[in-house]
Amino acid sequence: MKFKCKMNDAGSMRDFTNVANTVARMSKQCVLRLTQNSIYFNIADDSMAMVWTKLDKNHFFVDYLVAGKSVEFNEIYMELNTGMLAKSVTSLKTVARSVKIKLTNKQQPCLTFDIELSSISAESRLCIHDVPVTIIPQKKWSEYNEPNIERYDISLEMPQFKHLRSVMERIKSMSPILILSADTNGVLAFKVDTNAATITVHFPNLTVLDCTSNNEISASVDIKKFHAFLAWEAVHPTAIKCNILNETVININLNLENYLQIKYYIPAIES
Amino acid sequence: MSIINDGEYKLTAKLGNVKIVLQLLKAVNFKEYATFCVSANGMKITVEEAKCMQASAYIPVQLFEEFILTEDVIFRICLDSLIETLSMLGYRLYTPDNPILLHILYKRVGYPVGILIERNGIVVDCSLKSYDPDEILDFDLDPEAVVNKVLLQSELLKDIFAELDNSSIYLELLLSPKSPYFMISTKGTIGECHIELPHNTELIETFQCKKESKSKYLLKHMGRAMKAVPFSNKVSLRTNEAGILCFQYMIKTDNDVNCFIEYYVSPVINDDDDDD
Amino acid sequence: MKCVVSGGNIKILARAIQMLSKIGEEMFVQPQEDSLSFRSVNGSNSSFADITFHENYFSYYAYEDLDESDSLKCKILIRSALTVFKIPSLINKQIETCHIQLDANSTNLCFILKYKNNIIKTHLLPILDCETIRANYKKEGTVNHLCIQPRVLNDVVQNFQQNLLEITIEVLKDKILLRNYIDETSNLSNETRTQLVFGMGEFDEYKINSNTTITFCLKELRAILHFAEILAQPIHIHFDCAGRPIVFICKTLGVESNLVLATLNPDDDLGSQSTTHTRPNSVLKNSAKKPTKAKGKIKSLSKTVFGKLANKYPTNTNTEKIESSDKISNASETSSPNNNNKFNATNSPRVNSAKVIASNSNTNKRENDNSSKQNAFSSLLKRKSNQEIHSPDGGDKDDLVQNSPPKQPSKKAKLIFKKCFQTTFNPESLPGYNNIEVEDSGESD
Repeated sequence: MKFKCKMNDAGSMRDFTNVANTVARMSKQCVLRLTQNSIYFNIADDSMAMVWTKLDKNHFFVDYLVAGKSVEFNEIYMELNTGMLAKSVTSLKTVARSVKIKLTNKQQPCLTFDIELSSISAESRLCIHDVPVTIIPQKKWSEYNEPNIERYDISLEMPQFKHLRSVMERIKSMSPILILSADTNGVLAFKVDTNAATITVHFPNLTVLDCTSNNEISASVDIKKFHAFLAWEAVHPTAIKCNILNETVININLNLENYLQIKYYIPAIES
Repeated sequence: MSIINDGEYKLTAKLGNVKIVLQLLKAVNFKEYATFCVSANGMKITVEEAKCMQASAYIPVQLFEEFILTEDVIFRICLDSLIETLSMLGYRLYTPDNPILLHILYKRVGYPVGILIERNGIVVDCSLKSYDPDEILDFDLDPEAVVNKVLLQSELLKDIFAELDNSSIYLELLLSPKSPYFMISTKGTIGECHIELPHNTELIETFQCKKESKSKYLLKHMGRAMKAVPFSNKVSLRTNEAGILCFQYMIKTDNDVNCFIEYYVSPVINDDDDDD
Repeated sequence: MKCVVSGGNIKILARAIQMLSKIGEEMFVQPQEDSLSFRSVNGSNSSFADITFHENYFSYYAYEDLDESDSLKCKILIRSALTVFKIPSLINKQIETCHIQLDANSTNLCFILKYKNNIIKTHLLPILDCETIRANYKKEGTVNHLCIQPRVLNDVVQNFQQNLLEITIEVLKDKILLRNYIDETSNLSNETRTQLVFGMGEFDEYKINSNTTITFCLKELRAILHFAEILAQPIHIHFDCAGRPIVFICKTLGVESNLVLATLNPDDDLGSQSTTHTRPNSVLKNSAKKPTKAKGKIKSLSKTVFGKLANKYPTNTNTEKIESSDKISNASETSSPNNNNKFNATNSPRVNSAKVIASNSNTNKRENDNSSKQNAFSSLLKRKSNQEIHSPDGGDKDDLVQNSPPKQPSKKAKLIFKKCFQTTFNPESLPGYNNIEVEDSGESD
């Protein structure tokens, strides 16, 4: 089993750090999946996939090498602590010149970050972080598969982050449940019910990308989980899409120039 | 967006400056619920605690772009929810050319209060349950009964409250015709602090002290009563013989409308003299 | 004592209090004839900070009553002092002057702040006790001496976790390695290991006479870095070897701040270490087994064992012999010595061994001068050696992040194993086990 890669582009290192930080904000643990073309950060929640982040190898890395256990299973899955990962890559955002990431065995399997830092003097500083990881055996890989949803009832573009944020910051503490509904006119509505008030926020004029029926599609979700997706604003996605399967699941798709894709799943709760 | 008032509503009001309304509401938001009294002069929002502290914010009728009232109404609603609703469209980014429009609608007793705000096409629709109002205490300080009165620019008090020692339970206010004239003191577990304010600078507009008064208030109450300092222009402090203290803040809006906030704070009657 | 601080100097005063608040709970205030010292020590006596403001820092300084000098020294809660400068942003904007006043036999230390808008704030901070504290440590002539800009060191330290307790520094002839300290008992899978290498070129002065590895607390270092930032002066670092204190000094003409930190006392059994370099001090240790009079007191701090360095004089103050003293740290405390501490034995001999080092320091100095002259060349050489580290054929060896120095087996381990030898708890052995107070309630449908 072997993995190594290198990043030396400031933009890539910044994006990578943003992804690591956001992943850390969403969960304590994550699964890092390394394939021949991409690396994935996956977060599972109650054994249900929640976040699926895909980073394109060609955009982010140079000297990329993944060698799995065999040619047939030429991938590596490992579990790691997101806080440790995020802290280790902080310097990539600002002062790093380049970083080599590799899988090492130092008393235990580690993801090693060899970071070359810039300094005031001519020579550079070298900082090594060893983040302990747990390798996931191949027979358990299937537990980390992406949920397979063929078609959603409605797909529409999401309102801008800044509008979502000011609304979500207010309603997240008002009620545990958010009722999300969308119709074919391109209106997305957020509704919360409390003892003292009923509040509905209407976002009109959104482009509907796909829909299966003319009915209003809705789903009730955990408001905290829905709010959590706002953390992805940090990666400055260029396109955000919201998919709803009536009363079943909400899927938010974020995309950054096709080299970074985030799929965020929020299961509906019965209301 | 316009609302047709077919006489069904006792109150329909429309307003373009949500920011000032929010500031006023937040300054009196030390309790979850508030009583709204609406009359031809405008709106008065009152919050009370344990009959020893009362705060009222006044939104004068001049601030409204539209104000149709068929008869005086009074209702109690959840102030927390109202504030959250009004903040939803990002009031900080308020500019006159991109205003947040606010509509307030009320039918009659037993019906909810409707709040509608709109900006850039995004609409927040909020229906607040209305409750029967509580009886409101009348703290009103009779001008005859006022012993000491100071009128000052809020700026002078700006930094004081932020630096008060929170380990102190009480705050003592001293007003006197002789030195030290105007002093605020706290006494906490980790030290004592005396703040002497000037009584004759340009920031003090009036300093009328008939005799020395020294009263103790709960620091908690004073903290609330100073919430309006940062965004107000002027404040008047008045005390009566019993030590009841009234803060009255004046807030000038961009369109030169004056809004007011008033706080009444009852003193703490000392049975144990802990000065020594 | 009466003094006045004005203008930009008030900010320094506020930062000084802030720094001391990161060290201990109490602040010792000691006015002297021409200076005023604020000191603090942490609960386990493993770190000590002294910030002395000289006469020229003040716009007015009067010591006044010389006879009463003893009654002037006092101790207050740091928390009290922090209330004086609660909002740092106001200091520059609003505060014009700060008067500090300490009267003999007073129960309060008084800070008077005069604001630009004519507000006068008087803070009366209760005096807890009339005592002072001092530490014996040497500021000069240590085996190793480094000098670095606080900003550079701060950048470097930023690479470590914010909540990291202890940091290990390995100094070599041409470079420095910093690692987070991980004690052997902790679970490796729960901690990131970080190692940072930076060269001597980043230092203003670099005099390493003996390669050494020392471990000390990071929190306090961060505190002095924050303070040094406002003084805008480099930090001087003096140290000998593991187990002996490390001293950080940052000063301007008017203010001098010293921070003394105990360093981890390594095992006698050095063989078990995976560090590659040799330890010259092991020889010294053997040659200095003579017991000394010093009532060495070591206390353990959190997970580690530290040499003791603070020195308390609860009643009388000696004159300032300490400041000039060449004596080595490690000293006495008037409170009862904690003799059952088993690390005592290993530490006390160090007092003598350290003398050996001190006498060597003259010759060392000459070497240092040479080495500083060579700086220009050495940075070139160094880059070469750095490249060696980068070179891919260096193989896995370069990846190796060394272990932290070992630590004494923890008390906790002993405690856990002690339980193995105790008899298993059997509830039946309790008296009255068979007594039935209430019969089981019958099952009813």
